[in-house]
Amino acid sequence: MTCAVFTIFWKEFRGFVTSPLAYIFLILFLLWLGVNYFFGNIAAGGSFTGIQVKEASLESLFQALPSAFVIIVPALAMRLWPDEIKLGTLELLMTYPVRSWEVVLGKFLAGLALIGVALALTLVTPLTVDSYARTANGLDWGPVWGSYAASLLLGGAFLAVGLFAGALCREQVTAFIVALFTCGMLVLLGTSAFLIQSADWFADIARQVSFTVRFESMARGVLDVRDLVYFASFTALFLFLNVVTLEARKAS
Amino acid sequence: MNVSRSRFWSWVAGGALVAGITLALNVAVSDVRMEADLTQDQRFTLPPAVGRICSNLSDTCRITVYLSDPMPSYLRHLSRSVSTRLKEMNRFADGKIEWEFVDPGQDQELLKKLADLKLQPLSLQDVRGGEAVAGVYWMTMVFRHGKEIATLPLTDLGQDILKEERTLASLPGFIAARILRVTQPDISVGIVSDKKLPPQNPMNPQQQQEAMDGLKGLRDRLATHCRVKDVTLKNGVPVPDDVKALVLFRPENLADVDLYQVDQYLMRGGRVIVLHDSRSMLDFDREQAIGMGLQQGNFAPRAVTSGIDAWLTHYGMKPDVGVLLDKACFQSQRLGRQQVTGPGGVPMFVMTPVTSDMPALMNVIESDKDGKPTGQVDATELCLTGIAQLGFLAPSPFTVESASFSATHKGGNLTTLVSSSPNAWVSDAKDTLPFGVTPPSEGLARRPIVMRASGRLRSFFAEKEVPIAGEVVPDAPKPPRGLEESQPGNDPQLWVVADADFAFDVWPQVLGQRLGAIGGARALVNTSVMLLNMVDASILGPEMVEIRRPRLADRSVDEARVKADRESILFNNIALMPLALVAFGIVVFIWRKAQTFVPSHRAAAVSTAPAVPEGESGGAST
Repeated sequence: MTCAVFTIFWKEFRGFVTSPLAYIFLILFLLWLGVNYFFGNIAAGGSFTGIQVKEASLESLFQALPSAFVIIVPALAMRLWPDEIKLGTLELLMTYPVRSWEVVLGKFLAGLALIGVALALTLVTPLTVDSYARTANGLDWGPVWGSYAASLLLGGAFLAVGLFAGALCREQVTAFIVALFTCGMLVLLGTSAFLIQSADWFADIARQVSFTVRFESMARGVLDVRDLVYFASFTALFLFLNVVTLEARKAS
Repeated sequence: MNVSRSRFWSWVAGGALVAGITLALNVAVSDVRMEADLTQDQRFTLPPAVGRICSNLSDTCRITVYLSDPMPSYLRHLSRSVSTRLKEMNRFADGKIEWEFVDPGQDQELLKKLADLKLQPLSLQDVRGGEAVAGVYWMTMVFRHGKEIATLPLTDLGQDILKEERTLASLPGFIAARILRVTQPDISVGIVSDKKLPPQNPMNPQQQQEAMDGLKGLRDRLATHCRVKDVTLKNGVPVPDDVKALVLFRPENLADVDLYQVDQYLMRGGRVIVLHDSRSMLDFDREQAIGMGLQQGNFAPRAVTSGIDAWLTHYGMKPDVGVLLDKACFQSQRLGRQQVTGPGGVPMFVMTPVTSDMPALMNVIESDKDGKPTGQVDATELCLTGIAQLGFLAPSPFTVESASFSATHKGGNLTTLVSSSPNAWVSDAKDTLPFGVTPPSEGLARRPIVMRASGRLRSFFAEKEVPIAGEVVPDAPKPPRGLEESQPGNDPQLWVVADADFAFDVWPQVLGQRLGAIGGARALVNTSVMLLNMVDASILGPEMVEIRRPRLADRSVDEARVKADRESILFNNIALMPLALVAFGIVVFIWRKAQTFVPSHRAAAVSTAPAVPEGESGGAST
């Protein structure tokens, strides 16, 4: 990592740590996952009468994660560019001897680190579930690590989309809505409710493009090279588009 | 400006190029199957045992996959899943697996052929254009090897069929079982059981009832990979030679003349698996009596005289007439009567759920919570590896007769495979066996439940007269003596399980709901798997046992502990981290305030300085 990337990363990460908004979103994220996991799926009418966990498995915890990320990650990403544009610091930034890709990468890594922190804070749940297993088998940690890897890659992809949306829009809210819609569509495309309604040819494409199918594939504990390439290339593409947008701003 | 514009266009061109590369890369890797299975039991990887079964194929195995086109939207992945797995398996088979996909459609000739194989399409609902549409769909595989045919309705995969990754995980085992079935047609498993007429249906008393033995589940599971034969032991008819393993299900009053045939089968190197009960807890023909007993908090055991106790004792396993109860057991919930004081001080009774230990439903575990072996299960045994927990319903234990066994059977081995905990005792309950029996203070001991005699065995009838069918006629010529000892290199195996209830179809209806919530049901299912493993390990080798293994790990949560620690679990997992974040945020806020605090005497001086862009979102620090 170059020095400029690290400097920007550190500045942005510090910005997150000192921003009340980031805390609010992290707290909402943790509450959503915790309540969803321990009390059943609220959206599906889950009750608040007792703990619903019967198996030492975190499948339902990570099932709720893409829907939480669809809101949380664009919300975290929305301030990264529009603030710079609004305050005029983007022009100032462009005058510094840093390259556009270094700025983009620095901001991306800062966001990714925050997502990493959010995910790390959920580790208390697998540890709890493992400690309450009836037999020595305990929790199968393979799917847990697979789910965490998938979550980080999914978060990275959402963040890249969020950053790109932020670079396109002057307003935070617009950036948030654009990113929310894009990420939401990419999640929705792979849900069985959507696939069932679609024509065969479209369902095949949707299955290839959707985050949900890739995420579920990794979350079962299998790291497939196709899923890794998909997430990595998708993220790289949007980061690159972000750089192009910055260059366009410079050129204008 | 021109330089800037040309740079911009070069970035745009670069963007388009990256988009193209991204697309090309994803298309290129779409057929690459390279994955790391992180699961503990490697459940998403093609099991090596499946690979071995495929590599043992000597001739071509032809598979026809009858799938309708199109399938319902939620089953569209089936053709892809089946072909993915068949391709992988064919690599091991060196191209000896050939397959084709066929949509039977309205081909009447084909439909007739499929009907002859007792195959039917399924009626399913699909959603098209937002509306539910009913349709008839085929999803069956037919395996052919020479003249042998086996079928695999894909509905056998159960819920796994709905998710692609789960279909991929379970399909190889099902396919491998059918390949075994068609490539080893001479392997048969014989079942000896008493068939009885079930109770009359009160709604339709005129209905013709068919005699049954309540072992359909066992037969179906064995039939996936070998032939299942009903063997009738009557009047000394020998056990057929093609029977490689003989399951004696809860023998009752077995005549000596029939036992002699079982013994001779054993001496010929046969595998005999006896499910022995001195007290039967479940019978399908007295479901009502059992149900009533359970409602009142009792088991209603029925005494069984097997007729083979002396025979088992000869092979080192002396059955006890009582039932074995154990402190290491599952619990049961039932409604109990509790006296409360009603309005005006009137005593009233209310029904409240009562949870109590059920020592009759033994919980046999391989290792305790700390991972230490309990000594209850011989984990090195092929038929038991991977089964963490077994359940037995009031077994009738054995006394091990090691000394007499060694003296009689030179070169024989007597092995205990499964035992109770050291806190088990024998009860001589005859008519009723109440739940929640209090353990005695003395007489607690570890007792064997599953045993095996193998190696060179000497016949029970070696020093006895050969039993004769029918009436004994004086001066009639004596029947020729059979084998008095098993032959070297043709070692028999006699497996004995001290319980038969777990193999019975009826227990899920009778006990399932009662046991579902507390894990006992799963343990009883595991015991059935142990029985299948015994059959397979003794006649087929390790493959089917290994294929079954990954699905057995018990990962249930200890609900009693969860209930006890409910508040702390909820606090730690829902509130603790958000509170920690709030605390951390406050610390950061205070620290930031302290950092940005400027003393008043310096503030005046600073206020005259030019403004510097500062703030959390600015780029000044870069």
